[in-house]
Amino acid sequence: MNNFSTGESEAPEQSVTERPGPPVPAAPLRIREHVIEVISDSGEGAQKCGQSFASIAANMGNGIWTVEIIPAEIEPPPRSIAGASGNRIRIGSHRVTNGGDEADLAVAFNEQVLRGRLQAGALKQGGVILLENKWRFHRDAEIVAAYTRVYDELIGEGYRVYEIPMEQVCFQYTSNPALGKNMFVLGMLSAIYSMDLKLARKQVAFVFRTKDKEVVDRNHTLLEAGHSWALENLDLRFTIPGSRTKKAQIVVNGNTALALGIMASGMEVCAMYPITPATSAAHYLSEIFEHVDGFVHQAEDEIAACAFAIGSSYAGKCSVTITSGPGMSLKQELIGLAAMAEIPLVVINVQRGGPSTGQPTKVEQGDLLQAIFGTHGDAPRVVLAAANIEECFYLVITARHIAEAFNLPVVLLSDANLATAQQLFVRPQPKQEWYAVASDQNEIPEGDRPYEWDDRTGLRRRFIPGQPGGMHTLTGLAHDRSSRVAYDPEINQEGLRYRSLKLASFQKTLAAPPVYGAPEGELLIIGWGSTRGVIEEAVDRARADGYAVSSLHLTYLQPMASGIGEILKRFAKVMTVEMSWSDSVDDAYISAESRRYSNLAWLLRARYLIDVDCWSEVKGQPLKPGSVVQVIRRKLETGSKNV
Amino acid sequence: MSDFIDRLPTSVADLEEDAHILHDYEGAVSRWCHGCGDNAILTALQKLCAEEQLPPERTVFVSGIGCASRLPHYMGTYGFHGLHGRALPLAEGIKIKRPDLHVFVNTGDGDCCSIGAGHWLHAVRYNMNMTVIMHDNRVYGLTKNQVSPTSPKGLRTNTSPRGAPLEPLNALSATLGMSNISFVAQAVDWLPAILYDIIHQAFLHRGLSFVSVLQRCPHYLPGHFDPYIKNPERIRLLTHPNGIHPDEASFLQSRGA
Ligand code: SF4
Repeated sequence: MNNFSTGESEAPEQSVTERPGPPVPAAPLRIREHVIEVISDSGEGAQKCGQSFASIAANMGNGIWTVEIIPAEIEPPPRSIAGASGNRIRIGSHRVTNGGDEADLAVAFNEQVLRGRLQAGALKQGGVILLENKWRFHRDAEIVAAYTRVYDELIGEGYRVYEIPMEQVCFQYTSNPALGKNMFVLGMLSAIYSMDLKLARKQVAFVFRTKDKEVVDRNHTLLEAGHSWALENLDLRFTIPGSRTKKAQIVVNGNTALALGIMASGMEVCAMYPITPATSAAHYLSEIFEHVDGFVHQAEDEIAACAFAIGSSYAGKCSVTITSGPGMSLKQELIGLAAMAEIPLVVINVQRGGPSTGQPTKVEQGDLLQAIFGTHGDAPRVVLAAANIEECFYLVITARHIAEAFNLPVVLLSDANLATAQQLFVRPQPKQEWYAVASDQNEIPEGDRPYEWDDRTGLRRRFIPGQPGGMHTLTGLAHDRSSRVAYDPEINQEGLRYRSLKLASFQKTLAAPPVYGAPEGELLIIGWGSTRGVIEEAVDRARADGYAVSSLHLTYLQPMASGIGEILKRFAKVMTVEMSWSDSVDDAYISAESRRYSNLAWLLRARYLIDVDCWSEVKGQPLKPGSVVQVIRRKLETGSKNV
Repeated sequence: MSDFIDRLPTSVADLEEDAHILHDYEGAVSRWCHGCGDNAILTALQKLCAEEQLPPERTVFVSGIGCASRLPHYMGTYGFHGLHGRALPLAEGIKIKRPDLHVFVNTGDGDCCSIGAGHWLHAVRYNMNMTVIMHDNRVYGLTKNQVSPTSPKGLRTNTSPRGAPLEPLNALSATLGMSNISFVAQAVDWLPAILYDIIHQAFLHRGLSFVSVLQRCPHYLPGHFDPYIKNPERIRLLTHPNGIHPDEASFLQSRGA
């Protein structure tokens, strides 16, 4: 017996067989894009379902972006508002660069996790909800009451709720439907969005590739059951036309892209200490790194991980340490050592909510200033940030190059949004020049010194152990050109000058990024990191509405390319959009003199002497393009100086 | 990382090289106080390098911060004078990348047993092939006379003016308590022959060897080890079938008896 309802029209107890007939499937409605959420208690498989669905869509030629919905705890209590676990999947006919606004359709395994998402403002008013209905028939009267209450509220608020007997139908195919209904849902979604069932079967076979045939068969059966159940019982049919390309593409998340980038850069040692949300990069790397003679060291702590990476960099090719905010804070003293002794080092910081333990699984961009200035004294380093998954791959290679060319630490910033988000991009074809060259082991000519700084660029040739004639003791103390401890005040001044000059030399190699939109206008939005897709989409929408807004996205935050100052001057107003704290000018005690700006705004104000405003949000959720459109409107309509 | 192994000098080239003399291992002139026990350790290490003909370009002395950690500057090899407490993880990084290098770590009692204590215990577990010398003078010297985790109870220093309140940490038993420990020894700076033999044995050992050296600090703890120096009977030579075997005469001679 199938119990379901399309909301207002039917009683939930009514069975399908009593209906006059299955809903006549209308021709699928052609749409440009949809945002879909699949949510469950943790461990029920909504994430696997959502990721698989995104992969199928990618194979259909759609643009995709996924956002993991992660509870903070490993096993939160079942049926709890804070326990929502799953995936948001945005599918489009075009390239998709962010998770979008409110979801059009949500599949929920219980009504409580759904409430959690509603509270987070994740669902579109009046959107479609596919809800497991077993709770309506639960023996616990309280659960029944809770379910009914939420259901009635949803109907009252105008949502299109379809109650789906997920487990009940699955019982026909498996004795443990709790374990298999995610594949039933995958089948349902495949039918609703007119996906190719063959591709869906292939995806399921891939997901269970390490399991025995029986498991694969059972999940294929459940997939097909969901597919035909939806076709027979639901009047929801969409199609999002895709365009398949000839070029091979890959779908990975940001942390996997980082791991692949580490391999492709030719680095050989990655030292880390487990920390959310950075660790999964090391998981993936641990699986594959040994095939190319690489080594992942799980050190005893964050500090040791950084020291280990520096030690191995010192003795040869550049190494990498990967962490998140709290670990970054701990590594700062050693990053200063790498800057002082001029040892190449790549530090990857997958940012999370801070300060302190903050929000480990949630996104924030609060580490930019600590990445640049976090060490005591003047410890110049290059800081760059990935704007999407593809850049998580390529920028690791770039970071390694810069670190070795300039003998300094390079910090690559990612964040919790990119860490777990999946995107499609053209499969990289590794090139020889990506790899680090073998370390110089040639004899050092007599008289050459380890810090023979070039007066213009600050650069010097690094001596590596094994090079005859290069023996010296490297030190974190102020040192002279021979690496001897400096007791002469002039030498300290000189060393600081040369280390700083290296950043200026590197800056010469940078070009200002292109302006997105018109080259001049009323308002310029500046962003960095994972917000790029959101900001550019918002700019597109606002421009379509007639607003003279453009945006600029910075990859290099330290140093910044020449020409940015000129760009800023071409706009009447300039503001940053970020995910790091900034005071609101609406607060009583906040004035121009007391306001604390978000990270990038501080930097731009100091560098360019322009009254750069900022808007930021630190809710731990990726920004929504719709919210940024609102910000643009407010900024341009009210004529207010600061929003 | 195999490219490094492939690039090792061939044995033929080695034969053509001149033998290294003690002078090859001398770096800057030491700036330790007169009578400091660190000098004895430095001498033993230089002698070891010459004896074993370690190529200076393939030998690295790694240290943290403190009086003891100045040692790499006084060697003619490569050296890495790192950060307080962090000598061991730096050395591990070097060794993982370059198994062909001879890696030594010089660390003090504060460096090893206090700020770097976490690294010390884990370095023992990792058991990488390196020689770790802990210069135990039982006090902080470079930062000017503060209490150390190995200071005896009651020791008056600038941060324990009424005497150190706690029993000292026993670095040897702590090291022995770690799983995977493969070589532990203790030496004293004032018995140079024995000190040399022990450090030599530690170097020959494959795996991590941990040698604690009781080291005199005449500047802050003048006469601290005098009871042992003046009364050699208070020193016991612990032997091990795989350890050193000095003959009785040289033992007595080395203690000045
Ligand atoms: S303070 Fe003590 S340990 Fe330091 S150099 Fe002087 S005597 Fe040696």
